[in-house]
Amino acid sequence: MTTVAPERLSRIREIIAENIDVDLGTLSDTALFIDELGADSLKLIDVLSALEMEYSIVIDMNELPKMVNVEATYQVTAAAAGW
Amino acid sequence: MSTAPARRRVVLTGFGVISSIGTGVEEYTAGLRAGRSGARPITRFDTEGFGQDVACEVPDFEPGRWIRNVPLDDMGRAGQYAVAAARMAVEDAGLTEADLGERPAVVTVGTTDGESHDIALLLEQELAAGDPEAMDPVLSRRINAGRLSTVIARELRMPNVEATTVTTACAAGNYSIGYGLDAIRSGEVDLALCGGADAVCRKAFALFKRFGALTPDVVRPFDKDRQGILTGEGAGILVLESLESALARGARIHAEVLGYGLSCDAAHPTAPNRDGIARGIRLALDDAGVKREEIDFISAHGTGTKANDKTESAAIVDVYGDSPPRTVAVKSMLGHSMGAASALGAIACGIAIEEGFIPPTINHRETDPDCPLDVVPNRAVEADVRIAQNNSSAFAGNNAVLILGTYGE
Repeated sequence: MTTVAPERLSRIREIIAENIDVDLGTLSDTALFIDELGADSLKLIDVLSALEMEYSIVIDMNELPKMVNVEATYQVTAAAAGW
Repeated sequence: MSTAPARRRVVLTGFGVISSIGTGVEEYTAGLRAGRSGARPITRFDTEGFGQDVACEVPDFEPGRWIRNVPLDDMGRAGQYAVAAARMAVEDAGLTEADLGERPAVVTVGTTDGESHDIALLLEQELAAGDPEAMDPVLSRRINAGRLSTVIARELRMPNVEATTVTTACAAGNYSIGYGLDAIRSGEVDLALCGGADAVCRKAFALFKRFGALTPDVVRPFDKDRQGILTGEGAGILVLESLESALARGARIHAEVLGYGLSCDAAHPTAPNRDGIARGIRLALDDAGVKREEIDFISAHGTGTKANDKTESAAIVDVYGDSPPRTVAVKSMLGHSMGAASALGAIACGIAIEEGFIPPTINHRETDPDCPLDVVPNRAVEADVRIAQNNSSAFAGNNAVLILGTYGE
């Protein structure tokens, strides 16, 4: 587990909210994208793609199932970016 | 429905094939029988950055062999495939330009990407120059997908046709054939040229890569270790003819078109839908007047993705119960030729009926328990095929299922 950098977390939260169509204000870091927020795999691909572009990184598609909530998505992104 | 007047019967009298495993019926038949693979390194566009570079490209296409009347520059690669396959199909049917002449007919071509390869080239030109003026007008003029069908009418000099392009993506070949079937059954026309065409393009490659649906390996439909599709290309055009017309001119009959069924999931844009597929199969069986136990084999949509093969298998079991017909995936050989896929699948079914063999599902090691089917692994089997079912499903949730039968009497 990487130590969380608040600014990055906040930007990742924004990217997620935008791509899975949820209100940023109500998006908690632990709410499950698919089971609680109604996202589907296509939207999660949008999230992955947006993160890749934001940070100029490549996230392996096999990581997608791990990106279940904001917290986990931060960790996957951090690992790909080497933060 | 016993009081309804007998429907006109519709037969297949010509096949035209451009495929990554063989051009023309003879080579295509040999490819299907041998279980050839069309996978090879991509030559059409730069694959740098994708981390993989394989597709099922047609390696040996010589458009000038088939296209005589329309300047080759008037078509992109998909259009050239469509026209070449149409020329081949009418020649296979023994129809000359004089026979076609003023004849009323339907010409319908299904596609997923149309001339997207040309669209990508135009975009490259614009980006490189930083100026839309840099886009080549020759390419710009030919990107309309509607031209895939009208250019066939131009090439074959058939002015009295209804020429339409059907854009129901990866099920579009079967949609086209169903459309032609309806037009002939209804008595509107006696002749229809139907099928599908697509050309390898970066758009499709990037899309499936991004979906995580592009295999880094080979295509292994229904295998427990399947990892996705390879993109492919080609064209299949079939000559549909009323039985009276075919008999009157003493045509050789490949097979009969018994019926088809269409369904729309009206649900998710990309996820396959078990109920939608099963409904399409049932509608096709009903339309064909065929009982489940009469189906000798199914040519599956069988893309090789986790989601499709599992869902399609479940739908087949829903309809057929615990001992479904043998179910094969020609995409194991051809990759996913998109709009051409179900037209090439339909021709494979016609060949199976005529030649008495079931093509194999190649690259197969171990059948996924979630796909409890006899997939005819790796080697074709000799079989008396009287009736075959050709499945197809498309993004957006369209399913089209075609039933072909032997023309016996």
